[in-house]
Amino acid sequence: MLSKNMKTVATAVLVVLLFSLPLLPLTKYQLHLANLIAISAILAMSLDLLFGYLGQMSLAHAGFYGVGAYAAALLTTHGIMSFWLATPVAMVVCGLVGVLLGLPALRLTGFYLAMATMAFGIILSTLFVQSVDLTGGPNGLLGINPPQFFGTDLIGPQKGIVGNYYYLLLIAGIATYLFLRRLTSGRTGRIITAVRDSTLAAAAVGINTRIVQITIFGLSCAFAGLAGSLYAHLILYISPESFTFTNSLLALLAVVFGGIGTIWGPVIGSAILTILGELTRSFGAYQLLFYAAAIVFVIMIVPHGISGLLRDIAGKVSRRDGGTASRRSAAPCDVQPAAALPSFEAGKATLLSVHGLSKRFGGLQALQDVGFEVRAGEIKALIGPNGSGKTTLFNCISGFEKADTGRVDFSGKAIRNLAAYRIARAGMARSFQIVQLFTQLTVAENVLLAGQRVYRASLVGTFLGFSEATRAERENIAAAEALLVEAGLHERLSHKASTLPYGRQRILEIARALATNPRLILLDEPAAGLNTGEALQLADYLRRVRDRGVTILVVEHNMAFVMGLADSVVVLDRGRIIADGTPAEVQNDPGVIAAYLGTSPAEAALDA
Amino acid sequence: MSDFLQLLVGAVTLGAIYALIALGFNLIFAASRLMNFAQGDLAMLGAMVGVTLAGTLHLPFSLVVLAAVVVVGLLFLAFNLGVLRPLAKRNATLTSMVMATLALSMFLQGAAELIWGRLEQAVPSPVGSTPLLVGGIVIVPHYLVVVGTSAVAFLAMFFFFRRTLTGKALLATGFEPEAARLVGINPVSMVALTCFLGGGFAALGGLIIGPITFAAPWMGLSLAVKGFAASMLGGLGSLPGALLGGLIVGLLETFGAGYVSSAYSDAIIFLALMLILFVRPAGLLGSPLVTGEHF
Amino acid sequence: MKVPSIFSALLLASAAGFAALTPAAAGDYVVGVIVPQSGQTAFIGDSALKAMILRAEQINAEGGINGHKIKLDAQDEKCNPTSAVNIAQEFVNGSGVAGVLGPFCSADSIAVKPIFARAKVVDLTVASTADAITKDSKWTFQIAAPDGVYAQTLANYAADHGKKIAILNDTSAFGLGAYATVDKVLKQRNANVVAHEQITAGQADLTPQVLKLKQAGADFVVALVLGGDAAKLCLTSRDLGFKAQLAGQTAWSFPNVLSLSKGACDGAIFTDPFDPDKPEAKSMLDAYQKRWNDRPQSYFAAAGWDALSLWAEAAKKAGTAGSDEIDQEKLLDALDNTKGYKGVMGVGDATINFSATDHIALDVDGTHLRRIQGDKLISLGDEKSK
Repeated sequence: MLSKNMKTVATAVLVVLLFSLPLLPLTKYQLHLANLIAISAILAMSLDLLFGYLGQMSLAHAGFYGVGAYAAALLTTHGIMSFWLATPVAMVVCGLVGVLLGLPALRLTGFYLAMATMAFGIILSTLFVQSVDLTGGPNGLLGINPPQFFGTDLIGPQKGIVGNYYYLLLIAGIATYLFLRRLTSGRTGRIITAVRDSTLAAAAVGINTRIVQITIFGLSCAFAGLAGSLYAHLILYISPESFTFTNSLLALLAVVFGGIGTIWGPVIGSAILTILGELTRSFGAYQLLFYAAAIVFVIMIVPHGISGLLRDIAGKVSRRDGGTASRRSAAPCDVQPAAALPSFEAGKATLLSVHGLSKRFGGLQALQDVGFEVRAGEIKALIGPNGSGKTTLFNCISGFEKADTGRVDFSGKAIRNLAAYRIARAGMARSFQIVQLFTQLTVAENVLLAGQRVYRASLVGTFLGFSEATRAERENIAAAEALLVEAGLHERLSHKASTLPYGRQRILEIARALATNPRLILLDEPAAGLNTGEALQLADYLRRVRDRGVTILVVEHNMAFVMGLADSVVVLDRGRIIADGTPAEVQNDPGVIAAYLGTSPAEAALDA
Repeated sequence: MSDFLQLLVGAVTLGAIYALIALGFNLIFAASRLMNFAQGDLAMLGAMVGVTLAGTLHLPFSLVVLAAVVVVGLLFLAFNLGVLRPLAKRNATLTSMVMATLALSMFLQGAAELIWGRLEQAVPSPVGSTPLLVGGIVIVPHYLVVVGTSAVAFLAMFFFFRRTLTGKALLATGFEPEAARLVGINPVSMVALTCFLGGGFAALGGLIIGPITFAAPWMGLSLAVKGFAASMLGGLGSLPGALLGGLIVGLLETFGAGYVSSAYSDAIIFLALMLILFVRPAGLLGSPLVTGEHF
Repeated sequence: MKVPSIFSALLLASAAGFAALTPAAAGDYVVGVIVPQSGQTAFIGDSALKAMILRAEQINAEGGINGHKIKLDAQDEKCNPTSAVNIAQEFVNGSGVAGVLGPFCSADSIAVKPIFARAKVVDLTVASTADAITKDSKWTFQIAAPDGVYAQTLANYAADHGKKIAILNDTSAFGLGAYATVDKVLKQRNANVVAHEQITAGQADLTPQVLKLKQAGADFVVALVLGGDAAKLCLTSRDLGFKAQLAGQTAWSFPNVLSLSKGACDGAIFTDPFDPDKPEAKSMLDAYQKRWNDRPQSYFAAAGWDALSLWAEAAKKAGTAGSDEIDQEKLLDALDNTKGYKGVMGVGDATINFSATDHIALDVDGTHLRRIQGDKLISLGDEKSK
């Protein structure tokens, strides 16, 4: 219901209102609270980037906030540099400390990451207290100089402690907001969300997930550091008490209150928490009770945060409205699929060759001396009884597991044990046995994300919206639409991927793999769980893809599906290749029949 | 050498307490995947029950233990029914629920300040205070109570999970709530049971550490933090892990202060914890599959 | 159209929030009190605030000051500088106050200093002991005896009575701050300091620290810790057979030191600016007991009482009958001219004297040593000067 114009007007009114706040008849105390809200909002936004978008927890954010505060305050009080230089330096320091922590810590997930960051926060607290010579210890760092702006004291004596500092905070807050909004939308936003939803699938479309995680962690810490410097230069005094574990929890609470993954939600959350703290203060000994009760009350009313509440309301409104927005963006495109999609020459050349590949898990020899070849332009099936090592072989080829010995060549390059994202970038895409979609992205975004490396633009260009980047995005959209038309998914472009029926999810995963413009695509049991009709559709789809020259290597249990589709078949049993040939040859191979425990291939097909 | 053994006595006693807190934390996690920030304050409440029932009313210690476990267990059960369940019904994120436990932690601290005052208070020990001398090593009799209680609690839980159907059902609920429902386990009652047990074990821990550390409204945070550390170190949801983790945290705290630096004893614990987690991302005995969702 | 209405509801709610934070004063002298009311330090604030309420009731019963009644506005500083700064901002720029008493926690007192200095408002800090409290600001007074004063008495006694001195402190602002001062004075006296150990306030087990003190062969331990930890130190020392003279500062007068240590602290000494047997103290404690049914042994009640009394004396001179505001320049001037004020705090004949350059209420003469003996705290009188 909120049209774009209304939104613009509302935003403009809000900005004007915020800038004119000091002109309103507010006391300096109230302005001081506005200052504090601005600072805690920056801290909460920085945490939201990490928690809300990347899905990673930090309970050390008050610690980073402290590092920023001490770093900047030490630089300015010792006269090493001005506030204006010290603040970015403090941000860089925090970012680097964050990266140093993130390098080992981001191997952890869930509560373990929370614990590791909490541990780091407690270590930082101890350092703040014990480094008395540097930080002043628990009695804090005194005599921080107020920032100067062209000779005026921003926290001037005439204006009390508030002064013009409010404008600085407002500008810093808005800049942070805009930066984070930009970062979390469009191409970069898709990458971040993809890494959160599935690191496996992200690597499979060529994203270096570790770099993304560590960059975001570092950026998040840097903004926490910005908040820290702004805090130190507002209060002009800092002590360890402001940077404890409890403060990290309060920052998290602000994010939860406002709504996770919105950037603006945590701003509201910070305001509520700050005002709540001040309102309950006069309850004296009872304040903790009131404060805690109020928190539970708010969480009970808005379990998904303020933003969740607004989203629900907006959702109701737009449903009543008939959902025009989604229909519009889902309008069928005029693109001719075949024209837009790339095709490869289907020669007889070898595209993938595997030699002597072995892999051992503890006492289990999962793969032993495995060797076979895939020719360009064919559909090759990899079959074998359960536990024969098919998925392990897939993982070793595509870089998700490291083989112990052997050789894998792809398009004439040795790729064994390259990182998964590098292999993906070299032109090998894959799907997974358990569907790995980016569930929080739409159908279209899943495919767009995968195409970003094909229609690429520099990150900076993307960020600043340069025309070259806009063109790349347009081309990417056209290609994605063509792929989705080919896959028969073009009617559901703006649906969340998680809402698709299971069979469609499988197809989407393949379409997404194709969007990386691969020479070879590895499919791990694509027909699993599909009914006969769906399996036939899938076979048709795969043939169309093959006819564009994309080579396919498929693991499948469904014998009827495999035998009808594959040009050649390789059979794996207990980690060894026992047959390699045309479907007919393999079906009559006595070794293969024995491997399937005496059942004939025909019966095996019936079973499946 | 005798100093070493003396430190070891203190370390094991502390470790036994942290293990109990971690046990309660793991139980709650096992069935509901929840990180309970109020765990330390539930322990504090257990100690406070001891202050009133054993200190003021001079009730027999066995009765005090029973009362503390039941009262605190029921309290957390009530919180589960009154706040966590309704939140779950409204599809609240796990994070929202975790924040609700944080609020509970604040509430309990505030309430305890009003009821029991701000200063540390004595929790009477069921045994005498004359230290025993064993080969030059001083052992405060209550230390034996701590280690004994902890050992009994762990043995009981081992039996519960390995031998009883309810125990097995409880584990199943945590791994696959839907599947558990399909085979006839009621996940709601399982979560309720763990809430009661988790709160009860926290109370037990607080009650038996009380005679050593005294009882104060603000004692919860440090117990919770060390209990979490023990739980993660051992591996989330792992029973032997909680025991091992608790002992390691106790050892790190005592020997860190004794042999490295008393100024940095907390930093030493948490630095070691980080390093261990970097090498073993799911704790020492934990399953890599169980890491908690993102909160 | 629901979204905008939610927005306006939010805006209204925040506006209402802002409004509620500004209580209006009418005819009374509003005295703002920045005091810890929750958490680990709330005990310290509790008796001081009760003494202030008692004193305000007395003054009001006698007709108030210049015809104005005193109204206390107590706000919880939480021992957190950010909270203290918020309160100071509210007092100075929001609600407006005729006087400010507190903060109690040293870090908080330091944090609010620039605010009162910029706004030119007099601040009487109550229980903050850091040496930096009154430095570089003519607007801040210190009622508590600063660390330097304690340290002097304690270090002198230690240097005279101990051959091997050890220092134990907690890692709070109070503990580390006091350690720095004690250590400095001991060094000046060339005392033989053999060990320095630290604990986290409320730490579960003190075995490692006590063993290290014992290893170092210390016979005199200066323990800069709060009440519960002091009792724990006595008990652990007794259990481990560590028989040094334990000594501390005023926190050893907390009532729970006696109740928790069960005799283990017998013989421990501590410095204190409070003598409950002094006539002024006695009459205050009697009144306190009548009003609150409790008889504090620590000096905080006395500090609260004296802080309000000192302010009231000065306000009498600085204020006028017609206005409920007090010219702070005049108030400062009146306080600076306080001479020979005999307070509840301080021992013997010590008096409180301020000047433009000295805003510290008590010096070494205002404190004495007390010893824990059975269930009593007895004064060692002049022994400190030995």
